[in-house]
Amino acid sequence: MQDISENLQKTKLFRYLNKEQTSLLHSLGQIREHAGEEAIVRQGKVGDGLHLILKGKANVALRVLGDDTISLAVLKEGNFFGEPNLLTALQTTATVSAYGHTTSFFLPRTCFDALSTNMPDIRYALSRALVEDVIKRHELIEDDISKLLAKQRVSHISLKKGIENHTKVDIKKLQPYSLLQKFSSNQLKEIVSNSRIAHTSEASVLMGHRQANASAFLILSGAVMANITTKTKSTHFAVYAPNTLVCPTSLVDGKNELFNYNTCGHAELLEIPYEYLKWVSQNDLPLWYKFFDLFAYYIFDLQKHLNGTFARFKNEIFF
Amino acid sequence: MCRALIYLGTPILLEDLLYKPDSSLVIQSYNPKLMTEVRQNLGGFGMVAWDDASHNSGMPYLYRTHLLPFYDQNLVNLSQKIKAKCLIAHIRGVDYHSKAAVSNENVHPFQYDNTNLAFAHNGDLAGFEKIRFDLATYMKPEFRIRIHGTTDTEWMYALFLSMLPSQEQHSEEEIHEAICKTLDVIRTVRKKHKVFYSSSLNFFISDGDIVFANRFTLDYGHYPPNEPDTLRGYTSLWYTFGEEYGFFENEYRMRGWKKRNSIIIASEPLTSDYTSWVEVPEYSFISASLKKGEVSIKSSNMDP
Repeated sequence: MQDISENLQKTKLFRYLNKEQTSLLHSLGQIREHAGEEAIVRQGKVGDGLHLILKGKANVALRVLGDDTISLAVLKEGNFFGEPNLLTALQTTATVSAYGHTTSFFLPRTCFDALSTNMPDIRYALSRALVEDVIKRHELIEDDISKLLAKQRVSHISLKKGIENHTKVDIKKLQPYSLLQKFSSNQLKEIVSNSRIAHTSEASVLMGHRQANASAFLILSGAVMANITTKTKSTHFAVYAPNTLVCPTSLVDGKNELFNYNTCGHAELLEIPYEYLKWVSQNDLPLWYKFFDLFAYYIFDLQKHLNGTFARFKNEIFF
Repeated sequence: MCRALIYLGTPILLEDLLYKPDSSLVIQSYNPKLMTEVRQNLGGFGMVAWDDASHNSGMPYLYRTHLLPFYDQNLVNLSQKIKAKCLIAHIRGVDYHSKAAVSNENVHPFQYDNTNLAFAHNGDLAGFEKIRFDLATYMKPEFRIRIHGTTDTEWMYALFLSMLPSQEQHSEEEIHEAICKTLDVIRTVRKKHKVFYSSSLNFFISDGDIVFANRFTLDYGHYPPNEPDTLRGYTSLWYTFGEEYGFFENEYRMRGWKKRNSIIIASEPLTSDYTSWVEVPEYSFISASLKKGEVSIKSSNMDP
C-alpha cells in the first residue's frame, strides 16, 4: 500500500498533494491491473472517473468520422486520462487499451464529488494539476490548429470595440443564474461587491489574445465566442451562452491568454476582475476552491471544442 | 423544435437512416437525445429523396405526412425499397396545444414545383407572427403566392428562393450567398419590429447533387423573461463522412477513410455513440457536393 502511495506521489498529477493527502486519495480510489490489449476505457461509453497509469503503457486509439481505428498516442507511467469525467458524465472520446500488463489508479467521480464537501483542499490540489496539464494541451492543439488555419481561406477578424460601459450589480437580478447557486449568500454578496456589470451593444472584445490579467465573465445575456487568432487569420471554436463563466487561463498558469474572446452582439456580463480573483486565491480559500471548480469545468469544455475544430480543419476546405 | 438529416453519397436504403440505427431519425421523433427542450417531435414527417436509378431521376421522391412516422407502414415499406443517393428528411416538432397547426402543408422539406431546391429547417423564428408580412415584401411574387402553410419555415423558404439568381441551376457559392441574404433580411425586419429574442435558424437544403446546412442562431443568448432554462441552448448540428454508412461490427456507423463517398449531416447523430461524429460549430455553414462518386466538403464561418 505504501509503495503505491509513494508511486502516486511521484507523478505530476499528485504534485500539489502531500503524503497524507496522497494516502487518502489512494484509499478512495482503486488500483486496477490490466492484461495486454484489455480496454481500460472504450470510446462511446460514458466515463465515470479519472485513470492514471502507474506501471506499463496504454495505447490511445480513436475512431472518428469514417476512420478505421487509428492509434493516437502511447501513454506511459504518470500519464492520465478521463479527467473531464471527474466533473460530469460524458462519452469517452477514445479507447485506451493496456499495452502489455498495465497497472492504473482509478478515482471515481463519486469520490471526487465527495471531496468538495469533506476535503475541498485535496480536490483543489488535484484539480489544479489537472487543469495546468490540460492548458498545456490547449497550447499544443492551438499551435496545430493555427498551422492548419494558415492553409485555409479564412479571414482575420479584428474587433476594435471593447466593453462600452459598466454598471453596478443588482444582486436580485442574479437569481436566475444557477451557476451562482454554488456560492453561499455571503460569498455571493462578497463577489457582487467586487464585481460590476459590463455592457456591449455590438460584437466587442472581452479578452484579447496575449492579454495578461484578464477578468472572468459570467454571461447574463447574449453570447461569447472563443477564437484562435494568428496574424492574418482567425476562427471561432466555441460559443457560450448565458449562465457560463468564461475564465481567464492566466489566473491558473500566470501566462498571457491563449485565445481571444468577444461578444456575439449586444451582451450583459458580470465582470469579476482579475485582481479580486487573485486576492481570493490567496486570502479566501473556501471561496477560491469553488471558483476553481468552475474554472476546471470550463477548461475541460474548451478542450472538447478544440478537438472538434482540429478535426474540421483537417477535413474541410474553407471558403 | 424538430430534427432533420441530410445524406449525400453512395446510394443507401432509406431504412438505414430513418429506422435502423439506435437513434435513427424516426426514433428521434419520440426520443431525441440532444434537444435543448424536453419535447418530442410529433408534428409530421417529410422527405425528399433522389435516386438516379428511378424514372426521371432529376425529380426526387417526395413524401410528406402529418402522421407519426413510427406508425406509418407505408413509410416503412418505402424505406425498405428506396435507395437514395441524396436525402433530406425531417420530423417536425410542435408546441403541445390545440392552436399548433399539424397538417401536410406544414411538413418539411418544402420544394415548390419548377424549383430544384428542397428546404427544411430546425429551429424557431421568434416574433414570426409580427414580422411575416414584412418578410413577404422581400419575396418575389412567384414565390410569395405559393405559400400554403402557416410555418415560419415555408416563409423563409420563399424568401430564400427570392434571393437566388433567376436560373435553373445554382452553384454552391450562389446558394451560400442566398442563405446569407435571407438571414440579413430576417435580421433587418426583426430589428424594425424590435424583435430581439434568440431564434435558431438551422437550414437543410439540397438540389440532389449538392447539400447545404448551416448552424446559426439570431440573437443567441437573449430570451424572454421567465423562459425556462431547458428551452435555452444552441440547436445542435453534427456530421460524419467516410466510404460508406451501414451496419458494421454490431453498430451503425460510417466506415472507411481512404475515399469520401458519403456524408450525413444531422441535427444529432443517428447512434447513441456520437464520438465518431464531428459537431458543426455555431455560426458556420457546411456544404458537400458529389463529383465522380467522391464527396467534397466545404465550410465557412458566419458572422453572428
